Amino acid sequence: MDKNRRDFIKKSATLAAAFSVTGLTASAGSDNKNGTTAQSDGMQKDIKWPVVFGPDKPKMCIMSSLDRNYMRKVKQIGVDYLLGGGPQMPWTEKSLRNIMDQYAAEGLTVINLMIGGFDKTIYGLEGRDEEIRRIQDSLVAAGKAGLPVVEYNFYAHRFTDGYYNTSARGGAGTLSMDYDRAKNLPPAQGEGKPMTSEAMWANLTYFLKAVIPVAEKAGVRMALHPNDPPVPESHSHAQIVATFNDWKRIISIVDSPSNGMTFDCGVSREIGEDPLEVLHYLGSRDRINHIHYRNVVVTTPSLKYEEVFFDEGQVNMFAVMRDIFKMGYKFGIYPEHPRALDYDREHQNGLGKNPGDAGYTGWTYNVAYCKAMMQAVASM
Amino acid sequence: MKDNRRDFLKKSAAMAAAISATGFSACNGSGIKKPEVSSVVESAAGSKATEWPVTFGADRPKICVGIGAGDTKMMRQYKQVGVDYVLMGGPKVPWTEQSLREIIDPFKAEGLTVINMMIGGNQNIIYGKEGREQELKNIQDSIVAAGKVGLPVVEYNFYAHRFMAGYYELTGRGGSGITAFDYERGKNAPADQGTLMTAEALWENIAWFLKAVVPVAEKAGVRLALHPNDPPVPVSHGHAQIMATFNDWKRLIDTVDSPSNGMTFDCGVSRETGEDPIEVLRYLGSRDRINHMHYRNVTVQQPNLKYEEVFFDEGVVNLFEVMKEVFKLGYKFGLNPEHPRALDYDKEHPGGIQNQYPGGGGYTAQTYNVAYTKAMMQAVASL
Repeated sequence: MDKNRRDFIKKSATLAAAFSVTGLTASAGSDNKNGTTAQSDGMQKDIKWPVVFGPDKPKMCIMSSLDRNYMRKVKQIGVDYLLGGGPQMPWTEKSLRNIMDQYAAEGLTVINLMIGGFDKTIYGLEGRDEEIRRIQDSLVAAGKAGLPVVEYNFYAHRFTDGYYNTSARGGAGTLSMDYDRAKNLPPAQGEGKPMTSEAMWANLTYFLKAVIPVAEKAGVRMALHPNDPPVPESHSHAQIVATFNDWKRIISIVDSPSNGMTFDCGVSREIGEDPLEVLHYLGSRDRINHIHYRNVVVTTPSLKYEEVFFDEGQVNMFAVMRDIFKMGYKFGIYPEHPRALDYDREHQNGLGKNPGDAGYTGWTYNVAYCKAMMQAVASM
Repeated sequence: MKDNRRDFLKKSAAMAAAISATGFSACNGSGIKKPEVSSVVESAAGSKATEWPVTFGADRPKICVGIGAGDTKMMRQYKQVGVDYVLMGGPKVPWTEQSLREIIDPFKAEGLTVINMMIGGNQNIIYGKEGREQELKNIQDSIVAAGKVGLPVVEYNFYAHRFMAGYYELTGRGGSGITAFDYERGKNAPADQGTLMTAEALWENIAWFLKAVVPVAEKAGVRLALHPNDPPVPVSHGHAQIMATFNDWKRLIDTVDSPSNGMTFDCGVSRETGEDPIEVLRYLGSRDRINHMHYRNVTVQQPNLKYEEVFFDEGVVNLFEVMKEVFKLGYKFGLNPEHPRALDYDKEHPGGIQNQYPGGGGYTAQTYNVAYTKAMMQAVASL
C-alpha cells in the first residue's frame, strides 16, 4: 500500500533494506505460454482465450517483499508486475538492479518505485538543493536500470488521522475517512509553520523544474500521487494535490510526459468528480504514469467517505477499465486498498494494527476482480 | 462442494448427519442485507450510465458456493466476500420439511439463502435393481418437501461410477496446484463387479425415473438439475456414461418435456467435451432447461480425455461471452464459480486445504473465483 511505502521512506534517512529491481524493456510481458495477445480493445467478437496482455497494455501490479515465498504467492494469483519503495537515497544503478534482479528471478518485473527523502524541498528549507541533486541522481540511475516510473508524494502532512475502521458485509472491514475527526490540528513537531497554498505551489514548481528535465532525459516518467485523503487542509498545512484543478495545474507547470500523475478513480470520486472525466483529461494528454484502481462510497466530497469492496462502490469500475484500455495506457494498474477479512485475521501473519490493514485474501479479491475487468474489456 | 455431496450421499443409505436448510421463497430478499446505496440493474443491455454499485435482483443469476450445513464461521467468511447464496448436500432421504428447515434456517440467520440442494439415494434406480420403487417414492416425497419450504432447485447425478481415477495434480504459475485429468491414467481401472451398465440400460432407467419424478417436481414448484458427467468420459469402470456429450444432454431434456426436467450447465465441462460452451448454453437456455450453472475454465488437449482445470483467467473458455449469454437468456438461478486452485496461502492456513480434487484449493482460491465472477457480472451489467 502507498501508506506503507510512504511510511517506510519517511521513517529513516538511511534505508536499511536494499531492494533490487529489474529493468523493464520494451519487449517485456510476453511470457505467457498458450495465450493470444488481445489485438485491440475495439469490438472484436471472436477474441481468443486465454486473454493475455502484452507490453502495450496496462500491467496489473501489487507490492511484494524479497521473501521468495511471498513472490510465489504473488505469481500464483496471476500478478507479474510490482511496485514498491525505492532503496536508500540516492538510488544507484547497482542498488536498483539488486532489487529488480531478485524479483526478476521469480518472474516479477518492477514497474514503479516510490521516491522520497525530500522534506526540505517540500517545506522550502535550506538543504533542498542537495535533496534535489540526490533525486536527480536517482532518476538517472532509474533510467539506466530500466525502471519506467518513479512515483512520489508532495504533501506537508498526510491526513491519516481521519481514517478509522468500519464494518461491512459479514463483518468485513472497510476503511472510512471523516475530516471532522481530526480537523484544525496544528502542524506536527518538526514541520515548522503551516504551509500556505502559495508556498506549496512555489516549492513544487521549484522541484519540478529541476527534476523533470532530468527524468525526461533519463527516459523515466514521474507520477505524483494525489492527496489521499484529499482534504483541503491537513494539520494546518494546505494540500495542493487535492482537487481536479490542482491536477490540471500540476501538469501545466512543466509540459512533459515525464511530469505526470497517478490517476486514482477512488480519489477522483472522493472529491466529487466523475472519474471518467479526470481519466480522459489527464490520459488524453499522456500525463497518467500510474493508476490506482479502487472503489468508494461518498457521503461528503473530500470530507467523508468509505473505502469499500470493489463491487459495492459508486465508481463504475467497468467503464473506468474500458476507458483505460481505450486511451492506450500501458503502465501499471494497482488494485489497491484490500478489505480486512476474518480469514486473513486467522492466518499466521494476521493483520496489521493500522486502520484499513488487510491480508492476502483481501489482495486476492482485488486482483481477481481487476483481472476479470481487464479480460472483459479486452473481450468486448 | 458438489463432489463432496456426491460421495457423501453414495457412502451410506443411512446418513448420520441431519442437515437443515432455509426455505427460498419466491419473494426472496429476507435475510439478505442490501447495501445502502444500491440500484437494481433493470437490464443488461446497453445502459450508458449504469448506476453503481450494480446489484442483482431476483431475476438475475445468483453467485453461490458450497458450505457445509451449520458451518457458521464459513457462512460469515463467504458473506464477507459478497456471497449471498449457498448449496450443499441435502439431508437424509426422504427429506422432510423439518429436516430441510433445520439446514436452511441457520443459513438464513447469517443472511444466506439456500438455492440448491443435492439429492442422492438413487443407486437402485440407476442400476434398475429391486428397491428402486422405494427409492423413487423417497425422492418424490423429498421433492414435495422441497417445494413446501421453497427450495427452488434440486440437483442430482445419474452415473454408475465416477471416473475419479483420472485426476492428478499439476503445478501451475508460481507453484500453484492445477487439477488435471487424463483418461490414460485410469483407463485400466478394473471394471465394477456385477452388472456393467450399458447406455441403453441407463437411458431406460433414467426415463423411468424422470417420468415419475418430473410431474411431482413440476407440481411442487421445484426444478431438477442433472449434472453432466465430470470427468466427461464415455466409459467409467466398464459402465457407459450417458451425460458425457452434447447429444446426451439434448436427449435428456427430450425425455420428459418440462422446465423441471433440467440440467446443470457447466461451461468447463462443455469445453472439455470439445463443444462451444456458448452453443450449449444457448441450446439448453433458450429452452429454459438450465436450472443450475457451474462457471469455471479449462485448457483441453484431447476432448473428453485429457484436460486441465486452471485459473479462470488462463483457460480457453471466453468467460465474458459466457456471462453475457447467461444474462441475455434471463437466467435467474444459481451460478457456482467452482473448483478453486491450490494456493500456498490456503495450505498454510490452520486446517490446510480440504478439497477432494488433486490440485484443488481452499477459501482464498474460492474467493478468487467469486471476485472474478462478480466482476464479470458487473461488467456485463454495465455494457
